[in-house]
Amino acid sequence: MNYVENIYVCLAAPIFIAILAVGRNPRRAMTFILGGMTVCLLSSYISTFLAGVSGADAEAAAINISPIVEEIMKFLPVLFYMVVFEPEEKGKAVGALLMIAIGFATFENVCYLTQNGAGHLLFLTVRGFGTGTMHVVCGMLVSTGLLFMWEQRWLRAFGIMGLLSLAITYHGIYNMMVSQQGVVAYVGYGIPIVSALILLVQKNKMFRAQRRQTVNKTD
Amino acid sequence: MIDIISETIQMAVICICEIAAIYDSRSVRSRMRLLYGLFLLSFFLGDLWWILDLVFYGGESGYSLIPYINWKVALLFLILMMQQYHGQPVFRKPVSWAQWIAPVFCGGMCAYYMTMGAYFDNALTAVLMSIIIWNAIHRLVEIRKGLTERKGDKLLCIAALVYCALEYAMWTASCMYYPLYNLYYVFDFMLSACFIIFVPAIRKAVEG
Repeated sequence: MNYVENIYVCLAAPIFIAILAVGRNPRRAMTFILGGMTVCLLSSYISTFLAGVSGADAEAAAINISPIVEEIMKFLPVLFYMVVFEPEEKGKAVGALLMIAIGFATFENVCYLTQNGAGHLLFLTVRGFGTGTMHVVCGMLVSTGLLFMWEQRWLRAFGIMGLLSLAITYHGIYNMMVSQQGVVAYVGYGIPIVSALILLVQKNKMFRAQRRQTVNKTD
Repeated sequence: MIDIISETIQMAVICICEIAAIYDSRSVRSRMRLLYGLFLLSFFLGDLWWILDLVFYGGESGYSLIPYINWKVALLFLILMMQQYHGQPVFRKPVSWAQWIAPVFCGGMCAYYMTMGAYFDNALTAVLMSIIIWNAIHRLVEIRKGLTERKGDKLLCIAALVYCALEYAMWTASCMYYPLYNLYYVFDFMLSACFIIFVPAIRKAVEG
């Protein structure tokens, strides 16, 4: 037995208390982190069900089913937030997506620890950073749609659908590589870290360019 | 083995085009360039997934839905890219009878491919390809008849039509038996070369 529900309760309880106690901005972040953990739990149920229905083994499910289920489930809370709460700044939705990804990755790592032990520090460090970064990179990919495609209806719907598909494939490739043994697995863990660095550099360039444009306009 | 070689060459060409697109975006940023980058990325990830599946599992990791989703999404990004230039709705009234080639041809090919199964996949592909060909011919006719002052996307529309022609040639060749099946790899190599046409096409469309 995995007792994932027990793990969830132990992790969620202090976060839930903190949500009640803190101010507005931290509350939003912690709510989405808790949301990410909840989504991870639900995704495990759905993936297991679909794997059972399709007769897929654990490896096939990890490569073909889990990426689709997990990326869609991670996006749903953000979609709900944007449609119901209609935040004025798109950056809030981007932050929400990243917080959900972090909550998801944290819960996933803890479940991995309980199933496989916490003895190998180096491997767990690589896996922890790799998996966490992978979820954040997938979140950043989808957030591109929220930032740059939200104004036009057609673009918003189909663009975000397309970006979700890219995130699903990226996730699937990661799962495929880390399922292998040896160097291939370590390369797989390293790919999200390299991708995240590239995306962060591009994002900083774009923000600097936007700030320059804003300054020029006010001048 | 030749599958891996052709997909690797395609990925290398896509990488070069992606680098060219990023270099161009340093001077002029636009949503078209972003969509073009996503179009290339869709293809790249789909090809990478396909190669890894071949290398690690011999192409038998399970039902390979994911790369097919990506290649459909690439068509979607191409449609959005073309729509970004002219800013008109994706579904527009025809300006010439030639546009009707799109649904007739794509529908016919869809019916042929459906004799081999994959009904939903083929229907979806037919719809997406019809939209691309319909819009490409629409814009080319508008430019030829002088119905529009904006002509920067002429090369983009030609590139899109060449891309569609090569895709259909590849898919049809894949339905044939040996030795005609080998034409699939010839058209795959030509498709890799076709990606290079998009680089100047996007540059012309964005920078006028």
